Amino acid sequence: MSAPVQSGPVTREITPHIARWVVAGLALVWAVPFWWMLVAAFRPAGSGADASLLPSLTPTLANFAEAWASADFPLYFLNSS
Amino acid sequence: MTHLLDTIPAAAPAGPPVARAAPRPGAGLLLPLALLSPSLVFLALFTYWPVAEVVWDATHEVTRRGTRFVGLANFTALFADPTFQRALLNNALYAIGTVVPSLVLALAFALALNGAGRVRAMMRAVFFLPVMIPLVAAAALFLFLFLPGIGLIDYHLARLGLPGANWLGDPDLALGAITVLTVWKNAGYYMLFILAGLQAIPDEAREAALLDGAGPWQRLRFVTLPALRPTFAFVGVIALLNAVTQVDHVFVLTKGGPSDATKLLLFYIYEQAAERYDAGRAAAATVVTLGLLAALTTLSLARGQGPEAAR
Repeated sequence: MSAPVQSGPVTREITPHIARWVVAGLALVWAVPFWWMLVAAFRPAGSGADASLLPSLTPTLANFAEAWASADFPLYFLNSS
Repeated sequence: MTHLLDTIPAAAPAGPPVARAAPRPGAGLLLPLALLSPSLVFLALFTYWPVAEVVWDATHEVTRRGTRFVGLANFTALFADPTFQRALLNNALYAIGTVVPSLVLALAFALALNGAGRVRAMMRAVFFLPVMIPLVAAAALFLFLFLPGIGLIDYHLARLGLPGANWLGDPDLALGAITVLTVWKNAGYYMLFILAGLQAIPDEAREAALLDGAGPWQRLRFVTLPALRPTFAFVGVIALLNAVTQVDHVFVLTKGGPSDATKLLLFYIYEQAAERYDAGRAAAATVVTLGLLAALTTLSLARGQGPEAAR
């Protein structure tokens, strides 16, 4: 009963509609740093620009192996917990 | 009737037991105090003793020849320090620049994403993601975004044919860059509180406004915002505290530079204490900061709750 009142546009007002699209656009902006982090994590070293937002066609896990080997992560986990 | 009247004086004999109970409050206090004492001891040791210590530090000068009482000299020196004035100004700008946009954005997010639906839930999650990573990690992420020339922002600006900038190296832009990071990090957190506040608004209020022919802006202005007033008072205080007590990103991104452009109060205190070993100056700055914070918090909470209590 109350669900349509909350979510569905009861009126044909344009302002809430525009606001929703603006917020959807902002959600994309908010996600960009995370998306770039994901894309960069799987990109092979030395393949094109680091700042590109397009995923690599040849994704690799080498970055994870390198990061894992670069520091004593088990100890850090132990320290944190 | 006489029967009833008889019972009233009969209540008088109940007096003596009350009188006998008079010495008891002291004895009655003993057990609660004993039970509270472990907490009280720790509260005193770790909350009030440091406060006393800071006040003591702020009014004393430590030299190699010994420690002496200097009264308010540390405070006068503090306020005469141009770096402290800069830090105070920076932090005021930073507080306004983070609190106002993040609260407005959080309200917009909450209004648009309130209610059921898979898309809304997903977008709520997107806005909340930055809250779940540590501030240090967020700062490390933004360090790459702000890199001059090859960073995410400059790279894509260049592809659009727009000139980039040295976001963290330009004294005019660095504080703005830090502010952007903070808004990105915190808006989702405040959205959560406002969503909770929106849930508490009865649907009837919105329906009544609709029937009265209120437009979306009128509903926001006269129904939603008044109902959210206590929420905003609370979230505003949280946002203010965050603006003063969070300094991790300054350490990672700029270390207070370039030319003091991002020196916030907490970073100034750290520098005085840990780099210049001036405990008196650092303690004085701490006292001033905490005093300001307490005053602003009191003001904000009083303004947010006054009309609510009157209604």
